[in-house]
Amino acid sequence: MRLTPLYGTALAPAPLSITSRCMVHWWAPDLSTHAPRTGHVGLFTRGATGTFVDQRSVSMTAVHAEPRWERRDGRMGLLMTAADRLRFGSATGGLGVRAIAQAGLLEIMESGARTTANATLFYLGNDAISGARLYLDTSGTYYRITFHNGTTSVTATLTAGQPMPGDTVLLRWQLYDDRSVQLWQSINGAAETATNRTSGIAAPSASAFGATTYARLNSRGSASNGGAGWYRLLKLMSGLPDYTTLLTQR
Amino acid sequence: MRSLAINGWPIETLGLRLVNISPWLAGAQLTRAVVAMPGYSGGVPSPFATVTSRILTLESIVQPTSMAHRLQLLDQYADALDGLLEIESVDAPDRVLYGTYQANGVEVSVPRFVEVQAALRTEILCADGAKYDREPSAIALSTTPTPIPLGTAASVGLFRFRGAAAGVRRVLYRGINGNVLGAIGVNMTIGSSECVDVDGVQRGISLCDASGVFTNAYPFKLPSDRWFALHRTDGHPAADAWPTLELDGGTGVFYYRRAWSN
Repeated sequence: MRLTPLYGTALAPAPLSITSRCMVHWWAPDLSTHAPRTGHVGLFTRGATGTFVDQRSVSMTAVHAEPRWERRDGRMGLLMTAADRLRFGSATGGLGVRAIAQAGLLEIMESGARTTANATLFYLGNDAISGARLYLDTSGTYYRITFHNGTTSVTATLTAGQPMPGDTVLLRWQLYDDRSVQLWQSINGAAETATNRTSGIAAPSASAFGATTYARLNSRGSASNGGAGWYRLLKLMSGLPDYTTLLTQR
Repeated sequence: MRSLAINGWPIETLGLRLVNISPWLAGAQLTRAVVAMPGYSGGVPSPFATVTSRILTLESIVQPTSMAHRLQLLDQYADALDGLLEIESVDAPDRVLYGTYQANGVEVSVPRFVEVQAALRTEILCADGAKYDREPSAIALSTTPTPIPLGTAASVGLFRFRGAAAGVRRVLYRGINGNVLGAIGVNMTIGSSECVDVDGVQRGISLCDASGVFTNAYPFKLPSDRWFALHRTDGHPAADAWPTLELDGGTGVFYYRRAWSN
């Protein structure tokens, strides 16, 4: 779905749709369950009806695979509860992005996921939840980021900042090239709190990534540890971008 | 952002200082046709107008610390001008304008190898001169007419019909006097887990099945119905009375962005 104007056939060197140079860039106001800015195929599923409201607070019932785009505080986001799944990557080829040195940014409105241990907001890995994988979930008290190389893992858990339902939360993480991880969190635009950087672990073997890697919002693998939230932004960038770059780069 | 941002980059972070922008608050230029008729005094005005594109001119100054720095800033600016540009400004942060880079003139003072400051004049072609809401709106649709707030330019959007439905399903657009000014409909049979999107922006129709997969469903379109746009003159904005949308059955939702001529 695209609500921005079209300019005809795209020709290099000026792509005529909004493009991003991030590895993955999904922005809810594009109203797409794909990631059109980076050209990734998306798949949204729920398998049941779900309720949401329009901007006048009129309640609606979404059919099974209808995304619940909901405006809150004048901003558009995708409402997902524990059974909702949003996957980026084609069914045959996957995402084409692996859990190698990169930074990520996720903007949500807290909807209670934080207090459910292991509820997962973001996952990068295969559907079997095996091999190399990176995921952002919760300890039941604080959000945390984990990198698993297929054999062992490192986890960075926040020790301050417990967002409450309705809080806007900006979560930023870094997977360093020594496979250590670090997580930052900003609540309602306040200054970030950060975890310590973990120690590094061995690099995963090429086969540890599995055949098909997906980026997922709101679950770990295809069916586990469903989260909940009002999702607005997901960005993955390679390397070590600073906060401003990660926030503004398209 | 202190002045203007291009694709999310405040222009100041690109090392530039914006000194002028034109036209900014002016509306897009309309070209109206007048047809001469034999034996008729004067011309006959066409009810339609052509809206020209808008060329946005940004004048800025780059104040580098060295010639190498100047080159670096100019390279960075050229990089930022690639592709479709989404332009936001501090005076209307909720609205965006879309354009593509057209020309960039760089002037340096003489002697050019001593003075590192340079003046830039960048032209951005906005094929669609309207500004759009940065955030889309979502309005629930039912068989009850629902008012649709609009900007100062015509808006199109996406209608989503939810299943189950069998046969013709239409959305009706009415002015505040109740007259039907537009209608678009589909003839479809869909289950209770499916929905159909009628996209007035791309003029396409697609079916979303229970597995979340979208497929082309243009053949659902009723040949007799025409695409339409919503305009505030069909309402009475000063009285907060807006034109309405309604379905002839079932439920749905209308996603759109308000469009602004200024």
